[in-house]
Amino acid sequence: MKQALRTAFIVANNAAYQSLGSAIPANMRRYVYRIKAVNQFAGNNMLNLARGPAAAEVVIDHIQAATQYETYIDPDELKEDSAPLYIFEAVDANIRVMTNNGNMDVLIIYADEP
Amino acid sequence: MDIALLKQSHEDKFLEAGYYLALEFDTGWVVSRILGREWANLRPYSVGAVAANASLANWNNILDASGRYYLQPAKRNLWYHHFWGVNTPNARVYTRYPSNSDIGSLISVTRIVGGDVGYVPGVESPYDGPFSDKTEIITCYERYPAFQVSNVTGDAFANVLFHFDTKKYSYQLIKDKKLIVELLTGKKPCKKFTMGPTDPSPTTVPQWLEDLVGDELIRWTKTMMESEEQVEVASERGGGVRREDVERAAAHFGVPVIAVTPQMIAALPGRTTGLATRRART
Repeated sequence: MKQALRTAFIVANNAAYQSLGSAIPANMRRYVYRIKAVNQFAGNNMLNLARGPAAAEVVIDHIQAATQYETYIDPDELKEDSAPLYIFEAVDANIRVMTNNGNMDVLIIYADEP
Repeated sequence: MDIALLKQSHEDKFLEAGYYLALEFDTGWVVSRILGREWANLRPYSVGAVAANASLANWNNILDASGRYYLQPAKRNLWYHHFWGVNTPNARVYTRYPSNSDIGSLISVTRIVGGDVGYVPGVESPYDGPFSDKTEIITCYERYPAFQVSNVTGDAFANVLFHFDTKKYSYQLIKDKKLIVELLTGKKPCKKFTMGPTDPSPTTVPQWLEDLVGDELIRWTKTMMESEEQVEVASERGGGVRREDVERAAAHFGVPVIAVTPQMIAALPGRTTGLATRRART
């Protein structure tokens, strides 16, 4: 559903989990179609991508970076019929992110659909 | 490999003003003409989560917060025409219509929730359409469906959502027997819909509708449908030929009920009275 695509950005840190994007609406699913992560930390770093409300996060993926400014983009090209990378349910409340060493910029393209 | 899934849109199946609609009940047909229509929809309607290898705790009658039936016409002077889709491709959706009659059984034993018989898979009627023919329901006041969702996978469904697409029809009842014959026997186009299962029988006619149409007229339509060639005789006799004679003749001569002629009934072994006799007298 190309018209429904939105973007969300956050600077993830290693202090605490933060919500990436708005709360997932009731009776909707959040389909994440693309993710871009840029390591701002001068050293190796890892992003924890998690689902679930605050203080109840469940990690669903890791994105690693060996050096500063290393950039991770998936997929390289977002096509009209691309499958979603991640699917979050309304009960997950939010997409939650946190790193293990320092800051990391995280951008996602997503759509909320029934 | 790309797969092209071509289907006729359910929107083409909604009726226009002026179309005829015949509803089959257990005692016969109620025939009407559509006067006007209005669209309506319900989306999303959540029936909640369904655990892995489980079904909903109860059948869902699609109610609002005050316990009113969304899919039942709000007034007696309306028919509702529904199609629906569901957001979970692996969901198995079972229906009852009316809410106490199972739809979709194959064998003499009623199909069971979670079984492989009589359900609409979510993938066959997706949330955004095109909706499956099997999801078509026409409702009248005091008749509404119920839904059950089954999950035969090992992963829970977080939230099963329905999308109902509806047309509301105002209508006029048809009581002209000649016109009814033409409509029910295919001489004139008419949308026909069975109100519930064919076996053991469709639902009963709501009392308010029976009062409006008349029990005699409704029963007459059934007799007429069973053997078109008996219409004239049935009209003359007022009560129609005996149903069991038509069925006996069909079985005896190995023809469908619709093909039974008065001569066949008259020629039934052991029959001493009948149409032929009656006709001979006239």
